[in-house]
Amino acid sequence: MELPLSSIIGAWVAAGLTLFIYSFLYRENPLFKIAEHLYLGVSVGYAFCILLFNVWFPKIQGPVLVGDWTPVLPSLLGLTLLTRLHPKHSWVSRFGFAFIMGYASGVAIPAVLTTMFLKQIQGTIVPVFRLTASGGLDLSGGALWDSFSVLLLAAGCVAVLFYFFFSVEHKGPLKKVPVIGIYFLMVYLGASFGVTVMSRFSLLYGRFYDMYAYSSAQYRYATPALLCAVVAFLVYFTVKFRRKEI
Amino acid sequence: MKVIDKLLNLDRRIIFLSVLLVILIPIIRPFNLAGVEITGAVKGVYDTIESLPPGSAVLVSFDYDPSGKPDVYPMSVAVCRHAFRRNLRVVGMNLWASGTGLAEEALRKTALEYGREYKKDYVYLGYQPQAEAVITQLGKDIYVMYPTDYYRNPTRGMPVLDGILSLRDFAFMVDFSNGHPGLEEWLIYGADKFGFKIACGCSAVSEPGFRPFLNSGQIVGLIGAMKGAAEYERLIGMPDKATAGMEAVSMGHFLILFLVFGANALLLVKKYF
Amino acid sequence: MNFIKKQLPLTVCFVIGTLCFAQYYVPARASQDFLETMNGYVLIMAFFAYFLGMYSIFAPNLRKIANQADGWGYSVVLFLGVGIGVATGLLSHARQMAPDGSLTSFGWMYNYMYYPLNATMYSLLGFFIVSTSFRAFRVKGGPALVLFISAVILIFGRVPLGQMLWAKFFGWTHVSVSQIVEWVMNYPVIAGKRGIMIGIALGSIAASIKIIAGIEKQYLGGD
Repeated sequence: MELPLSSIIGAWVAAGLTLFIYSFLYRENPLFKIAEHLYLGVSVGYAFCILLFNVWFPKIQGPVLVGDWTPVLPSLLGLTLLTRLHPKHSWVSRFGFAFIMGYASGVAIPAVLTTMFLKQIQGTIVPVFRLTASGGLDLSGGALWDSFSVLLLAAGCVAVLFYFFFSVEHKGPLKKVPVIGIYFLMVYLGASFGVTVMSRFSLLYGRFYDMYAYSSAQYRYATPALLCAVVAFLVYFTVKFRRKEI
Repeated sequence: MKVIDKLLNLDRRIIFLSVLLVILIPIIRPFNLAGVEITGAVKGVYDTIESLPPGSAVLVSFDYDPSGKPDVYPMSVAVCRHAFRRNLRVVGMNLWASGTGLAEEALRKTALEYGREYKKDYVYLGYQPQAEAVITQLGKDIYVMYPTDYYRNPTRGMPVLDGILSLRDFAFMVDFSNGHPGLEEWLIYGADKFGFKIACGCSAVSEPGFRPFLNSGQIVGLIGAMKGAAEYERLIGMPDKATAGMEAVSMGHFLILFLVFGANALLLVKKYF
Repeated sequence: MNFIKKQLPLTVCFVIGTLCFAQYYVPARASQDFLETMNGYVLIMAFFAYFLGMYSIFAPNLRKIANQADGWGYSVVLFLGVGIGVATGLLSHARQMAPDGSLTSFGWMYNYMYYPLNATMYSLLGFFIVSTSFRAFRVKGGPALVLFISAVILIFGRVPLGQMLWAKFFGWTHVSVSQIVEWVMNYPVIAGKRGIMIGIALGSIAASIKIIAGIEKQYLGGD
């Protein structure tokens, strides 16, 4: 199936930019720096357009043009933020920042208290034993293992909290508790490392899959052609760099 | 000893080359490994969508950017496919400016597969900044935050939003999260305040951090990483990118295990022999 | 003047913060309308805040170009990227797909420039995580061993190859590696994360109260 020219050109651009960034694995070089700066520029331009068409036109310009002046006051507050850039008048920006900080702090307190504090405690303090259908304690193997797990979770949570509690000196019988907390933290950090590995390899798979697709005849062998060009440039750059050193 | 020292100080470019090979080889020559085992966390999301009556409205928030495409995008596509197959109404939005393209692509692609009509079966509301303001406002009145959709069509009167005034009116919500703002904001300013059912699909890095919410019952299910996406694809019977990617990820995992075990073993040999 | 420059902004912060905190507990219509107004205000202010970030990127790069400092060519590339992003966005009205499903110029830029650049930048970490693990991951002591075991369980048990190998060599235990991974993720990992989460929650609540009360004034900037 013949692809449109825009897709073929796009594939060459995408493959080229990908290889420019991967050239950093060999050494820092002008190709990587070009891609890096292009990435920054394109990100800024992209975000500007999204904000322009999703916020400015529908929420600010649109209402004002039809006589609704409600966006004027927040727009003025927003403009005060920009005075931060001018040292002499930067005090004006304090009003905008004070508004935002007050809003964010006020809204956050009850919300964080509910979600990250009360609900987490609620999730930790759960019944240790299950009940059977007849109302007695379920002491089967599986149920006992669940009971142990629940106790482990609660104990671990308390130990980790105690590790971060500095109002009381960790001495005497309390000395062992933060040590247990450290071990639970290590389990969490080890798990985080393990899943981070999967995340990074997923990213690599995504990019390599696209590069493999762009190496086909449909895309006029974009990947191999550009790979040769990038390798040739890196060889030239390495030789030139070594000559400069000598 | 010289050999051990040389191995321990292996040029990193050789390691980079080995990473390249272990990821590339399964792409060129797939092994067709057996499928991933289904876990309770992923099944929670699947079972919830299965239990929704046809015509229910589901809110999907695509809170990720291109760095989430290999793992979060496939799970969002799988969930959208499942929702459209169950004849659910899908309302899409996102809290990340850089994710609008992926959100639009996921919705349109899956809607086209099932012959779903825009404005009638699904809608894409688009992006708005300041997550806490967006979520808080959606909890009261979605039409104030989104008077128009992403394509500037008026949202009031849209058949897909029939009976929907606020977050409480959605039967279910799935947040695909790759960082902040994401699930935590949806819970803090949304679900825990307004009380609606929510599940999450997230990248691998976020998964351990979101597990406490699953444990405390604040979310009904959690699709984590490319593995979770592969599980969901298996549940809906449509293996796709995530399932294919698990082979390359498997090889990468074993490479890192080999290198770490190898380095520590060499150190042990150096220390005791 | 000191009142206008210092005390008045702190007063604004206190009033807005207290009202936003109180509205959570007041289910009255007026309270909900107040929050709706505040949401709208903050959203519009976020649009203007973006220009502060833009300035911090543009200003040093413009200076570089003006002074023809080392690497000024790369700054030109940066502005070229901005130009491409803005031009394609304005042409397509920030639409990535045309009504017929084809890509607009903005969509082309997103799919063939922004997406590859963003994804590849992050994917570089995949190489470095392997190389750094090989060089730096050393098991010395109890906590490091626990971290190592936890990481190995997750790395081995979450992939089909690991699950297959476990079933082949340890299938006689009638416990799958997935069950072990799920148990680790559902109990000890949650214990660690939950403790951190509760600590962060208390810290952020304390910080928010300090900001509202005017004790924390860093956001005001210097005199």
